[in-house]
Amino acid sequence: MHPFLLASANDAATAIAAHAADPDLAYIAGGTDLIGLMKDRAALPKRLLDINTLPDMARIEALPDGGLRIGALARMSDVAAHPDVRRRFPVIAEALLFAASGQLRNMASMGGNIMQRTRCAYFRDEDDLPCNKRRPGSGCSALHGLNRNHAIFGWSEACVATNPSDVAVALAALDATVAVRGLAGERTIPFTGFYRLPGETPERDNVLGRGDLIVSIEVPAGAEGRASHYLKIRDRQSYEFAVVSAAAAVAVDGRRIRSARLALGGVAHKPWRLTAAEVALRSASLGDIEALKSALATSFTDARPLAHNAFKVELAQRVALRALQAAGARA
Amino acid sequence: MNAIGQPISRFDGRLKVTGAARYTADIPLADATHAAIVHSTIANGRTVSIDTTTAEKAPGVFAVFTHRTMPRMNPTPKPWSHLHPHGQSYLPLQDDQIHYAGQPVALVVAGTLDQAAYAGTLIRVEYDARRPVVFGSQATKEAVDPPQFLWPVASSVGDADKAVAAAAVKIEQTYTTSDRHHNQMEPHATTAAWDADGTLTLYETTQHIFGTRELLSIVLGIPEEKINVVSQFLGGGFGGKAYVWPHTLLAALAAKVLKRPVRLQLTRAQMYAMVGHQPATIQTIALGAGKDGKLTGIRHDSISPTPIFDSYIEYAGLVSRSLWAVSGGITTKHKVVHVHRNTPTAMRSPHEALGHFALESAMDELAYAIGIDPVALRLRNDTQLDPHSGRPFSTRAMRECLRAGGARFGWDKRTPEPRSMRDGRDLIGQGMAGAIYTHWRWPAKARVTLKRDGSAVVETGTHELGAGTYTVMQQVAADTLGLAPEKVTVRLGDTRLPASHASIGSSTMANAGASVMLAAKAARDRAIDLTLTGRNAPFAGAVRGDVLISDGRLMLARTNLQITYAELLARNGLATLVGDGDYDPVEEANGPKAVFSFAAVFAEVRVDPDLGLVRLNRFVGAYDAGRIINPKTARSQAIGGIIWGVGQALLEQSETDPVLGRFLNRNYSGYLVPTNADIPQLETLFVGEFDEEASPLGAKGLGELTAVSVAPAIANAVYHATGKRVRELPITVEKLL
Amino acid sequence: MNPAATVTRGTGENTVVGDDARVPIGLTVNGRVRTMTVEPRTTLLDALRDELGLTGTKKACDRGECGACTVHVDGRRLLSCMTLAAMQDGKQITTIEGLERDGNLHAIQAAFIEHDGFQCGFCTPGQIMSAVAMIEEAKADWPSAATTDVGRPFTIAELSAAEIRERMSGNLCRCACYPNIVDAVAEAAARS
Ligand SMILES: Cc1cc2nc3c(=O)[nH]c(=O)nc-3n(C[C@H](O)[C@H](O)[C@H](O)COP(=O)(O)OP(=O)(O)OC[C@H]3O[C@@H](n4cnc5c(N)ncnc54)[C@H](O)[C@@H]3O)c2cc1C
Ligand code: SF4
Ligand code: FES
Ligand code: FES
Repeated sequence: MHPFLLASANDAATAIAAHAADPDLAYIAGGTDLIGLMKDRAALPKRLLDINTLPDMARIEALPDGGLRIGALARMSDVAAHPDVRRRFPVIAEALLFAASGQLRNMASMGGNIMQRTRCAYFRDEDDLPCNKRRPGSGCSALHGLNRNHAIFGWSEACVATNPSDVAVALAALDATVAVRGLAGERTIPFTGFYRLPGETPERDNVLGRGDLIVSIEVPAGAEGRASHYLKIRDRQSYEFAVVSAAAAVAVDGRRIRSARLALGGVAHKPWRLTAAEVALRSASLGDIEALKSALATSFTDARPLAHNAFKVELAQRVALRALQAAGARA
Repeated sequence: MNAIGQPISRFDGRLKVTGAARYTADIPLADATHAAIVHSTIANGRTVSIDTTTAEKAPGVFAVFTHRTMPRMNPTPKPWSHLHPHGQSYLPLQDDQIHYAGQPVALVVAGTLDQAAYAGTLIRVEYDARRPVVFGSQATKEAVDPPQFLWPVASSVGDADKAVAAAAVKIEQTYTTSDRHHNQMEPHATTAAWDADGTLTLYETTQHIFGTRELLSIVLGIPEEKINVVSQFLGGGFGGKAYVWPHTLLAALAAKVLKRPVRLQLTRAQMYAMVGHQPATIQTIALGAGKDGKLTGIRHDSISPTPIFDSYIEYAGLVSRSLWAVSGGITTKHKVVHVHRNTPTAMRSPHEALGHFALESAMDELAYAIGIDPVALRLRNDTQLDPHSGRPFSTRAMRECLRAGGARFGWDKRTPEPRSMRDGRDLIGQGMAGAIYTHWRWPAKARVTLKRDGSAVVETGTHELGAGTYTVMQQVAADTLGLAPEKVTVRLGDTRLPASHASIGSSTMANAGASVMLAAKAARDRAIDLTLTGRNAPFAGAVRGDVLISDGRLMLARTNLQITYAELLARNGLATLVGDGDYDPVEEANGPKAVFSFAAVFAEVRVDPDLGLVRLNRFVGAYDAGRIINPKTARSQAIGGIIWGVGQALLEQSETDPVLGRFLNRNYSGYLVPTNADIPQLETLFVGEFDEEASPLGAKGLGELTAVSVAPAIANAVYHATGKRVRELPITVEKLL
Repeated sequence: MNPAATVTRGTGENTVVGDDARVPIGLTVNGRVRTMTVEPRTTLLDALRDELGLTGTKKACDRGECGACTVHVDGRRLLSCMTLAAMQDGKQITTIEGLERDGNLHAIQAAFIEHDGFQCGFCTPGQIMSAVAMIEEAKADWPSAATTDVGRPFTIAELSAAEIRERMSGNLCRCACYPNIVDAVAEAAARS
């Protein structure tokens, strides 16, 4: 790795001020993404600020109303093992458990997880290949290169990458919010508005700016939480990012869907909510497969596959269906 | 008290589970410097300028080498030979040409690895880039005939074309396999240290210390006696560490110039182009058969990529020359396409693992075309005569493999109709394949020393790659000497020991093992001599054949007379008693019999038809690898091979970017090897018997045999499950949707 | 934490100070306090191998993708190639060299030998370190991706072969000893 400085902070305000003032400074939590990026020279911060010493940011709280507050420094494994997370929102525990490996989950923080950058192989290559996300203006190698693992929704000519986080898919489906503290104080960003589509500026993954520190993630209470499921399709059985994944949460009256929330992973620059399908699914019967299928299909009319990932359009619908059924079975 | 045949735990087990086993990059060396290679980011062209000024001034840097400053090397010897095997003929940092992405363009030597690697990023290389040629759809048009490499490039027995044309049933299909990488867990590493008198000691991740020494001697122009090569523990080889690759030469020369030891370990990403890989193949097979399933003709052609500067051949057609009886004729042919990449190399199991996918898939297609059970089809085409050479097989327990494997698997409960077996929502598929694997014979030397304390030391320049060499050599020596295995110490992996061969092609047991047996025999015979004619000879006047040895004790039959090795040496005033073993077999092709290993393997898969997911449910392999020396380590070899086959079938592929002409995904995240969760329980059966033609130990090759035919068995099972015939490996989700 | 550069409260615009010289750190490794100076960029893996000569911990990918570098930090398994040594200042580290007690192998080490849970042995230190901690995780009611109902408490009795496979999947083995590793871990878990 390149030489850099390492410092730590004891309170959030100092950390935020330092980050805001210094464009070459990066927060580091578990390090499992940032250090990999630095080794491959896709991130070259001159200064690292270790935020693990910040107080009160690793807590996992079961809120009295049935919701959750997960500190940004809580480790993936602790969140996945937390009894209230498992009972109230199995989709979160599952999304975490299907991610990475036992060792990585012990290191990786929730804040770092939702901040992790794309696994596009061109972006991560140490040889600095043409990539607009890595070097704006250099072109997108994946657009006409190998793009099986890339987007089918919401991409631009500038970038066709996908967001790799599993738990972000679950959180997006649950309408979670991200609590961020910045120079101007604390604000709450709905998960669905946290990530950006690539557009002309794929170098920016999300809406955070200099200084912004993720403090926690809040998951609202809701009937859909308990009846939820995460389904991840990958080429090998473990320790791999998703080819396609789906998070589903439903509330039902008998077998009839009262409300459904669905998000897909591995298909876009951000977790992809199936908003149209969610509307179409209302009052459909969980037993009526054909009705479920055609409701889901309404969200795929705008799918735009690339040369190597046309299969994802069909696969994603089947995965969403299966996730929905499994969530329904928990209702 | 026979050690051979016992499931003995590994002699080196304790070292390996405590972290005490020292692999090449673990060897402490005072004063060592660290080197990092800077590689080309383009695949074709030349370097116009290389600016090293900033790098040279970076903290900790001792030197930066480019093609302008690296000392010259002698060309690699022609023809290529296992005695001095180069991985590729194109040598590093000798000119400004770029022939593949990942080619070395500079070498930085610094105090720490971080310093060297970082300084490397400060080097500015300006390229004159041209569009690379990649292996793709144009391949068949641009394929050319390569010069002969390991075997004849083409073969023909009878008239295959005529036989296929006239056959009652024909299968003609194209099958493809992907580029794959060894991805041993241990990255290639080398530490070069020159001493004051100009002797080079090279700690090297190699499966072939003597070949490395000889090649270095030629290319670097130094006498062999001035080179020691050491490799005592290898973190996996799989063929990838059998030949000498460019980085080793760079480390040796840099250390010479700097007069300090240089350590160089490839990064994981560099493991994809700095060393070899298994090339993709496009194979066309035509089978002709009668309605009874008897084969009348096979035509098997294969095309694979090779670099601009070398002609590596993947002999995928080899398997069709000898696996099944064919009445009319067999032809095989291999062509290559020159593209911008580095030289491919042998990878578990070269040639065979690729060829079997095509042949044994086609056999399954034939079984379905005729409506005959796939096992019955193989039985019908079994033969005791090698169709290629006309020689009888030394031993061929194919029938036994098919029978025992099928019985263990429960093949008779299979319903042949595709999509006819289910478990809940999932489709169940069962498939099988037969397998054959080449036997290699090499000369090998060993020395066994009996010591005055009654223990023995085995010394031989062979290698431990994970197959259990330390343990099996201990067993062989122990039995031959009549000692308990704990009394035998094994030393290997150093060119100062008696010369042995490359540990490739599953040949170590049969060949290096034979040399150890001969050496132990020689030591034992000298001991027996002493009991008959030595000082104060205890059995004076007796006949040799009456001397028995057990547990370190020599005894005379039908008497109470006995003496231990320890007492015998003491009585004769000897500190040691040495036996030399020199195994020098005839080349396989010149032997009276054809020697091969055989297998029949059975796979059951579970397919989620909606999601296109294939998972291996269970697997049974029945193997004829001659006599098994250690069933415990043999089973490990077998499960390893099966899992390699699972990787080939379902996961592994190194994709080349069509524009950049480089392997993308040069890491364990993008190149998928199986994880623990991908593998169910695996059953292995050993049905072979002592094969004296193969080796004095009766052993045939095992490790690579077991990786052969897993892919077609799985592909055949996928067909049985789904009715979809996948002819392109690996079988990924999109091929089944 | 004791780095040369520290963010101190309210120091104004230039809050980060220090240089890229080596920073002093103290780690308790296998029960012994070890002090050393490292560059901030030195990973825990490189510090163990190059500074302390503890070469049992292996570098196979250096990217968090294989598990060969697994060690325990404060009792948890993690990947030493993906964390900085200076970030672990003051922590308790256990490496493969620290598992033996009074010359006796740890039960998992012995089970690996008995079940031939390795071939070349290169991934083995990582496998073993991972297995030791994994059994503790299972005892602590941690579910896995192989757990059918994460909503229910998990007990060690449910540590089936499928559970072990999934929980050990962060450790690649190219020699591919997986079934034997599962047998070794199952035996040791049952005895623990
Ligand atoms: C081999 C491998 C496999 C993986 N597989 C998966 C997988 O299958 N699914 C999956 O979801 N993930 C996977 N991951 C990714 C892993 O989950 C992330 O690397 C991890 O969650 C990042 O967390 P961290 O604490 O280590 O982040 P760090 O690496 O410390 O930080 C990552 C980024 O987040 C920023 N950051 C961290 N905390 C904050 C904060 N509080 N506020 C603002 N910014 C912050 C950092 O500045 C940095 O830019 C895998 C990773 C590896 C290496
Ligand atoms: S898809 Fe995005 S990240 Fe990947 S190469 Fe294109 S611009 Fe870069
Ligand atoms: S070396 Fe750390 S995970 Fe591979
Ligand atoms: S034992 Fe060789 S990699 Fe696992």
